[in-house]
Amino acid sequence: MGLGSLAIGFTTKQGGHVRVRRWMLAAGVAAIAAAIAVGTALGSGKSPTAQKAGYRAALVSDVAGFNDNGFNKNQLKGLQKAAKAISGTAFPIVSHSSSDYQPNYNQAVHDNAQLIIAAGFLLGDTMKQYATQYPNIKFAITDDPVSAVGGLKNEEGITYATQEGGCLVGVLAAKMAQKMGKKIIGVAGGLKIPPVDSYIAGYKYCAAKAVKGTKVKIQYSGDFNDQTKCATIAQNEINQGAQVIFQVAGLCGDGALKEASKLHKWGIGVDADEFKVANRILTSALKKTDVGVYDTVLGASKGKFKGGKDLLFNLKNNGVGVGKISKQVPKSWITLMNSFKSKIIHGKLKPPAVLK
Amino acid sequence: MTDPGPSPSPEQAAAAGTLAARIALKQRAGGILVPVVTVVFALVMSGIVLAATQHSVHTALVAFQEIFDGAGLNWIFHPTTNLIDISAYNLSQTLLQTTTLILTGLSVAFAFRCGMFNIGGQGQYFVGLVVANWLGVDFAGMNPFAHILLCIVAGTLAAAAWAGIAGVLKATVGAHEVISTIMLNWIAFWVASWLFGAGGPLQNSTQPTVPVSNQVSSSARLPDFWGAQGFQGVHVGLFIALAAVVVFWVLLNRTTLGYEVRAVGFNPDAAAYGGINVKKNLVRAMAISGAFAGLAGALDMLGGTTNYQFGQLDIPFSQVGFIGIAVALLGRNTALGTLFGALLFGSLLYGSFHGLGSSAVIQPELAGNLTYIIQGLIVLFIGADVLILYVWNSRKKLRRPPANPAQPAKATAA
Amino acid sequence: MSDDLVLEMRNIRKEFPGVVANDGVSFDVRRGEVHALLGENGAGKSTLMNILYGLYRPDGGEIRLAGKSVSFSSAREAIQSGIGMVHQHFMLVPVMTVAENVVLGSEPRSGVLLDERVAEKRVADMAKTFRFAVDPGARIEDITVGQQQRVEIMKALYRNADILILDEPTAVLTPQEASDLFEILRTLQREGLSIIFISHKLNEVLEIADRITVLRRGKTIETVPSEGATEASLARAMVGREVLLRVDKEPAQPTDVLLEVRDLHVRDDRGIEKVRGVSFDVRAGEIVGIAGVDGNGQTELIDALAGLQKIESGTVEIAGHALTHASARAALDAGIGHIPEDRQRRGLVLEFSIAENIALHDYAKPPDAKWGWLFPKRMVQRARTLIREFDVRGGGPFTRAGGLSGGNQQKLVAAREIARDPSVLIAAQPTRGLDVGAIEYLHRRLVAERDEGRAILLVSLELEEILSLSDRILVIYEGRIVGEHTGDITEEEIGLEMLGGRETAAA
Repeated sequence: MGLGSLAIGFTTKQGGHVRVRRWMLAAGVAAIAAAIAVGTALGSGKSPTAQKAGYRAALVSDVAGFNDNGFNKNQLKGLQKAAKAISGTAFPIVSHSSSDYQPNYNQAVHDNAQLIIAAGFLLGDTMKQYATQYPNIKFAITDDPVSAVGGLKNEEGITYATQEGGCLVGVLAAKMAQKMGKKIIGVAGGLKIPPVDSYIAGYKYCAAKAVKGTKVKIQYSGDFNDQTKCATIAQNEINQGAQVIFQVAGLCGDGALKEASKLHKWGIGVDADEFKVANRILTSALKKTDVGVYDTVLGASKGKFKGGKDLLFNLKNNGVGVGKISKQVPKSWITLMNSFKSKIIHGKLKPPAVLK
Repeated sequence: MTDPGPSPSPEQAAAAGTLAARIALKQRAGGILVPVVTVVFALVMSGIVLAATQHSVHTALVAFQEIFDGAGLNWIFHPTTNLIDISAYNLSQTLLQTTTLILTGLSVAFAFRCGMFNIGGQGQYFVGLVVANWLGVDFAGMNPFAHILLCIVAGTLAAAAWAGIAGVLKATVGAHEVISTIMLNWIAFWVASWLFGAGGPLQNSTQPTVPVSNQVSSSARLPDFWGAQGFQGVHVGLFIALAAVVVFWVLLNRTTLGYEVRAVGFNPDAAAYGGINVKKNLVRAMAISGAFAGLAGALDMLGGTTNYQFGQLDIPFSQVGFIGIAVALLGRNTALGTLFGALLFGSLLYGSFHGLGSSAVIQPELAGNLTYIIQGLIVLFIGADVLILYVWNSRKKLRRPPANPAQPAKATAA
Repeated sequence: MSDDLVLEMRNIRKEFPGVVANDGVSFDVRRGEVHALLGENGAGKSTLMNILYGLYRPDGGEIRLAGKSVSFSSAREAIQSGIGMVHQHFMLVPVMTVAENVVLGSEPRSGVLLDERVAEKRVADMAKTFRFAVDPGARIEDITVGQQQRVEIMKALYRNADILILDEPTAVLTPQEASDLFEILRTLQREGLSIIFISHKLNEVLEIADRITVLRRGKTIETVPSEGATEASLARAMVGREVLLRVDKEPAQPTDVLLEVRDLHVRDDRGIEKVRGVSFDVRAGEIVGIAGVDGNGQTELIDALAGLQKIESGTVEIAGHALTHASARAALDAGIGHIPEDRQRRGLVLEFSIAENIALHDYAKPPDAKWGWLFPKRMVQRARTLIREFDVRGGGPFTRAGGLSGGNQQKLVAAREIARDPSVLIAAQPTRGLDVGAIEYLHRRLVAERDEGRAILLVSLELEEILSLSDRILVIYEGRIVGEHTGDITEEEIGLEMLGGRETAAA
């Protein structure tokens, strides 16, 4: 944009309405012309992805995107690993708000995806709409039973027994709190929704079983992204005596972990191994969403899609578990935790999935 | 005696009272080309960021193409109304985004024209949205026309009243509207979060654990004219928004109300001297400003932009009220300018969200953050075009005589 | 006074798109002289000085400083060559002290910090030498306009200026402050400084200048010694024709009382009582002038009459109708016309077109509007008529009012107020900042309106204007009317009353 042309634009100011309009018109035409020129220059040779071969699986993230420290990020890993394993093509699509869900499903359909995975229960309504509209495409959803999305024949639910992982970290939390002198542990939850509450239910149940009289403080931030909100919750609960904070709030919860470390208490990560988020991480309750997505894609590509049914990932099939455990945890506690684990695997202990 | 240079001299700029008036004065210079230069400059800067993060100029160019295609602008090469075509579909979504931004842009522009900076568009948008959802759900089965009208009018008026609070505070106790509208935003934010959150009064009654609202009843849904109903098609709200552009222009330029608004906006002292009730105008202009934002919220709700419902989690992600500020600034607070600004930002927002969100060249983990960086850069540079104007004005000084060589303006040590 | 030239400008030419601002202007300055540059608004005075000060580059001609040819590309270079300029609009930082402002940009430092003590000392020394009477430690926002101007002069002196340009320095000053300024200028002159004094006021040019150069339409008309020049000769050179400096008017024929003010008390925005029991009448067919030093309650009095300031107590009647607690709207509707003292801040919406400005009071009434709907075409039509009738030059109905020259802006305000056919016309500082041609026009117009039977209240800080226009003169001092005169009275007698009958050293 040369300065000369700018100067001409300026002189129009004196000329009153007519000349200004003419200039607006001219500039508008110029802008459109430029846009068309750029568009034509770039417009050729579109969609390199469209030619790729193999099984085609798409994954639509929820509003947190794929850089969320766990939940969506791991699913992306599973998708990419699966695509590699079967020499197929992965179509990860980022959402920023719920108004993105429909366009993103539309994009996946346009990309001729044979399987479209919803990265979380928030996408349920949209998935149901598209599953109804496109009966020949397969749909799956993380964290939601198929019953919640209409129970269609081209739908599959990918569910996790997160209460089992929650149970195991609850055991360590209770022991740690006991050692630190106050039998109080805390939870920083995101929203009060089933996938969050099942973690908390298992945590609470087994903490009380491991150390009698352990009390659990539970607060929800109403948010999965804003770290300050979860940090505030951690602070509140620690003020009320909590020694360990279990975060169940995605990125937001990382704020709680950092706050707990800062106040010389302990934090427990969620979904992914969050050992590196802060320096006092007891352990993490893992939801191996990468395993879930990987298995789902592999199964579907081999024609083993369980239409209208749910896949369940639990301790037994290694779909949930615990992450790296702090070195300050004595062996005896780990032995105790493992006894809980084997009881669950053998069906002798059933932590509840619902908070009472 | 004739004066050759009718340009806003720095002295006049200093004499203009309000923040909004000063920005408006600065923006008068340069005509249409400054916003165009600004946009080009912003795009170049984001291209540099893209190229730097991706270590490839080619990737940056492809990313721009993805934004362009993502907005559906490649539709002009093969126009079709068939939404199976991805460019047509994307264009339809861009138009949806534009619909909202036209109205939030007009909202900011209207307050600006009365010398006020309404940062509360986001909160006013939420108010319109909440009221439309409430009435749209509760009065199920009404005559569709009446039901839609009820929701729209009530949402608009509620937002007008909400914004009017800031106007009243300014007129009575002199509270600055920038502060009060920001605070009102937070109130609206948290009230909406509570209403839609688990156990909230407007929360979905069929899925008590999911923090989203009920869907508005079918009698309150705006008909789609391009796209299948229920599949986020382009609804008649687009025409309502276009009508609002006309209303905005007519209101400002063809009514005594608009005359008063402009007079107060340019020079409240002269307006008062002219017999105009300045305080009344502050309240009224703020309310009208809020009405535009509230209308945006109501249309988004009834038009199914988020599937006829709104989630608690959508609240922190919604930025349309704030983007409205950039739209209005870029559009120089005029009706037509705001329309073009909304088109640009509509394309940019949807194009970058969607184009980069399903990018073939950018890592999916980075796509989200990169999108926000690019959008942020562009908004920043739009805001910074006052800076470009400053450079502009300083070189202009060398070429032009001062506006009024012998004006004994008020001797303020500026 | 020696004859050596410190500055010569030869055949300076400067063009702007569509205008030749300087067309072969020649101008020189001798050491230790005050050389006035006189001309109407737009004659090219400011352009010439901006060229000298390095703000504009000339398209042709030569500048020689002390015999050496120079060419400045920025004000910084001009300052380094010993040229200082005091602009009409001061460039001071309000929250900083006098000393800080003076040294700003070339501060004495101790380390990286400003050495406050050294700065204040140097400034205090300078203030003493030149008798500036300014406290170096005072903050700019707390001192008067006249003192601020002295700070600007000190800034130039601090940078070793030996040529000082003053652009319309008295436009913002009260008469007392102006005479103080002249004292300072004479001191500077004795110290050997050369001063270029830009003005369009004939009397002060004759008082202060040694030589006078008159510019008209970008050309040098003449350079004359001030001895031997007269106001009439200078006015003729400026305008290019004979100008009537004295207002020709018949004796007034006052009839009914149209404006009656009784025991009026008004407070200003800060709650200070500025009008303290003022009573007077203005009759149809007479001009009543209110004389006074600025800040003695004139502004609050006018605002109260126009409904722009709350009245504490007392009454105002227009043609027998009470108007005491009326809004601005009600005052307008009752027949008050008001040419405000600050046409840019209040009299006009500078961003509005001429047509819109003409509609400022009656935009909501037919023919401009009906039922809230505007009829811009009718506004434009009305504007056309008034532009013609009042000879507003420089644009049509769509021209932005801010683009007009000061004189034409004032004509525009006058046109609007008079066209509303007011029974009482308040004219506050109607000719402030205007050049001779425009002043002549407005004065004649006010007299003509008087003869039409309007009651005219003239408020002015220019004593000469009050004396030449008024049929009756009221003197205001500290919010009270302290004198009333009808017959012949000299400027000195009124001046004494304006100061409360005692000598005050105005700040």
